[in-house]
Amino acid sequence: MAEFNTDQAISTEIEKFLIKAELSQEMSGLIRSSLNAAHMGGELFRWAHLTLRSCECACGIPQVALPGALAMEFFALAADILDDIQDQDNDKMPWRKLSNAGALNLAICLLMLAYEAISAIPDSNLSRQTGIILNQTGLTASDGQFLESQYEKTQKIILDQYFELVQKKSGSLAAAACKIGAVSGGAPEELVLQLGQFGINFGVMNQIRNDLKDFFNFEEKKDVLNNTKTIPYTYLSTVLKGKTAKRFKELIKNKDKVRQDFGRKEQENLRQLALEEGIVPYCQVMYEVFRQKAEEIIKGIPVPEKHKEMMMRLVEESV
Amino acid sequence: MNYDDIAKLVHNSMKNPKGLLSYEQQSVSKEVTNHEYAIIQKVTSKYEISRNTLAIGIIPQGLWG
Repeated sequence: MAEFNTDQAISTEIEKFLIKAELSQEMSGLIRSSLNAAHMGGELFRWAHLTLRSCECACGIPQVALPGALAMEFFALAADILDDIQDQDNDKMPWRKLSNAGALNLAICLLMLAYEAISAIPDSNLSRQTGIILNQTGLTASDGQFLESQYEKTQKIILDQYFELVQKKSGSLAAAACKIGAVSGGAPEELVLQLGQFGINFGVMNQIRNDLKDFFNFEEKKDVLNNTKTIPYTYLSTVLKGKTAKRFKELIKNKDKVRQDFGRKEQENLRQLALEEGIVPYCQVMYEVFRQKAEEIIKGIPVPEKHKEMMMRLVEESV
Repeated sequence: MNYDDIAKLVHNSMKNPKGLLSYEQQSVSKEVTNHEYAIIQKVTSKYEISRNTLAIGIIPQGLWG
């Protein structure tokens, strides 16, 4: 695995698909820069790597999983772009330098590339299984994105709704990578489902971390301005009572929708209130709950310990 | 898992300087498992509110952070 699973091998395969697709230089260049930018300081090609790790965990041959891994990488990037079009934030990303129409076409192009990668799987049964997983994921994730946009119009959601939403929106993507890796590795159905469940928990814990980070990132993210029901927002609207609840509502209500701005004073007040009311420990607790669930799944699957190492590394760091 | 009860327990522990009651003494529903309760205790006992520090970044970054 270590000799094979390199960014270079993944890059080479991506280039082959870009050449085969006969895309314009502009579109090819944009796809390359977007793939490079998407990791945001984390692991490059993380979706492809997750797919390959899952294949290894199922005792499979990573080369077999490579087209599925690329499909996952293209698909997840398309989902990221569509999310940013919806939220109108993350302005540093290459696709946010485009018009909405340009970004939409980029996302569509990436989705088509994902299906090109699936059709390149030589084993027709595996190709079909991979297509089914990715399609189901697209349905689930877009349903989650839709719910998120609907919830922005409401004043409050409950925490059950939040966790259902993130399992659809984020958990489903990580679950798809794990399931595609597992089927590519020839895993029995039970193991595919277990790795899929791992993916859901892994996706949710990452979403919790991102929600917490983004809640305080008033410069680049518009969660507060958009009234997005993130975990900090939902937690605060659940636990706050009386005067503090009123203060929170006023702070949220006082956003200037016209200027799309949220003044420094308001930002500092919201930050202070959020910290005092326990946003950080709550996010830590929920991160740890999902992390431990993910860890338990990997510990319990019936494969040799050495095959679990790469997956364990993803969830080994406790709060 | 009872998300509301976990949220209330964390919030109460932030507001109550004496910290959390034991699992047996807690008044919230028993849908919060002993295991979840242990996580709440572990996290809240370590946490101190810093009024001048933005206390984020304390969820591990990991490979995907």
